[in-house]
Amino acid sequence: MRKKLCIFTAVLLICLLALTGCSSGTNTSSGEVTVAPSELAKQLAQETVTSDTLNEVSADIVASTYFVDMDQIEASSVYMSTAASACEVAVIQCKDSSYVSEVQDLLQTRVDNQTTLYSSYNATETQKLEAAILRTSGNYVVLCVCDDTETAENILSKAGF
Amino acid sequence: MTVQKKRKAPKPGRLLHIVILIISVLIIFEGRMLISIFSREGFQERFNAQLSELFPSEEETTAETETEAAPVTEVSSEADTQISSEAATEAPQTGPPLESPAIVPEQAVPVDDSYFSDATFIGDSRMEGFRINSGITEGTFLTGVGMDTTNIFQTPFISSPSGNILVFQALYGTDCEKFYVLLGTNELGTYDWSEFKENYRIVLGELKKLSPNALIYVMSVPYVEEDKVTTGDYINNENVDTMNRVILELCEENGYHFLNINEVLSNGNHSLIEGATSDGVHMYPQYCEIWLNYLKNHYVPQDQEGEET
Repeated sequence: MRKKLCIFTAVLLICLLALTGCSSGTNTSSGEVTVAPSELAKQLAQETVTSDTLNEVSADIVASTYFVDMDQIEASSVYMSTAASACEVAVIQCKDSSYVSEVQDLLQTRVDNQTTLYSSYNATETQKLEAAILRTSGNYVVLCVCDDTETAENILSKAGF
Repeated sequence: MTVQKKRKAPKPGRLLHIVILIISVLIIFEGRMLISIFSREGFQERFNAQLSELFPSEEETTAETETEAAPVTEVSSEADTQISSEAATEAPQTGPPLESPAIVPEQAVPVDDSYFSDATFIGDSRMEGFRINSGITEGTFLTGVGMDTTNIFQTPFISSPSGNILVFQALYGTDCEKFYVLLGTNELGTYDWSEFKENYRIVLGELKKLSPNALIYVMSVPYVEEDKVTTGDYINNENVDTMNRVILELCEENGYHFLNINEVLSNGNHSLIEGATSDGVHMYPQYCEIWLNYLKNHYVPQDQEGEET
């Protein structure tokens, strides 16, 4: 009887865990990222940057900053600083997965260029750039230069990155 | 005769099969989720997250409220536009008492963004902040953090898809009718003002050589919020005033057009409007919009473009 009860409890626990996993809003059971770029970018900007205020910028600024081909972008949301810090958040959803690696390279070039500039200007910001998070998942590319990388990692993990 | 009921012997095999089946199904369909529970966050963390979702504590509620109040804004929102126009109305129009024919006067009719379509903006991080946050839709921006009147010739500040290049490399072959230049903040600690003036003269002279017919607008260095500046005592408003007088002299001597943006960014007491920045230097979007409005209202009319100031 006791054995039965143990097995029943174990099964119940596993089912409960499975159900709580399914309740996550951004990570579907198949592991695809479905979050809106604007939602994820806003959350990253608000919760991971404490040293500066980030503001969402226009598509023109996105194109001229990262040199991405906006015709190949499904949706994007980019938050940039007042120029007081190197912090910035970019969430870019490509129309096709074939463009993802190019966007990733362009964002890496941006980080490299900024690191070069800040290295002779501001050591604190250089450290943030060296710890920049650059992730891809499906058609998404995310760049996060921030103060709290641990929180950023958690947010991205929950979003399926 | 008492009939003793025979107790059925337990059949652990059948139950075990059912359990294995359930676990297999869960592992197949939710394997990724299970892995994430045990590897990324750990069971305890996950459990706490679920608890806090169900019963948000007072502390979290406060944090949430603070987050909501955090000034992360969208530049193009209507609310911001309203703030901008209100701030523009409230901004005192009493900058430093600079008077000179080189200062570009306010025009009766403002230009729109198309005026900047053949303009190149060159400057340091404050100009970079203006590019990002003012809402300007036209113009070429050659800006870089830390740019000054000497390193502009040596440091490759300008990002390109293939890496960083020099400002003058980026200008090569371009057809520019107007330059807007803002340099000086990174040199507020240079107390040899004559040296600064000569360096700035060289920069502007090179621009003139590149585009002899271009209008050259030189912006005043915006004031700072001294109590917020942590990067050095030399970044103070006394130095800003001195530097702006030097820049104005330079404009008078060379026929450049001086844009005294402190007319709208000053608090009326030789300082930047309180609350305009997070670090004392780099302005929030609504103040960059005031700055852009100033540029739209202060320009050289076409019939006076060839005239010396």
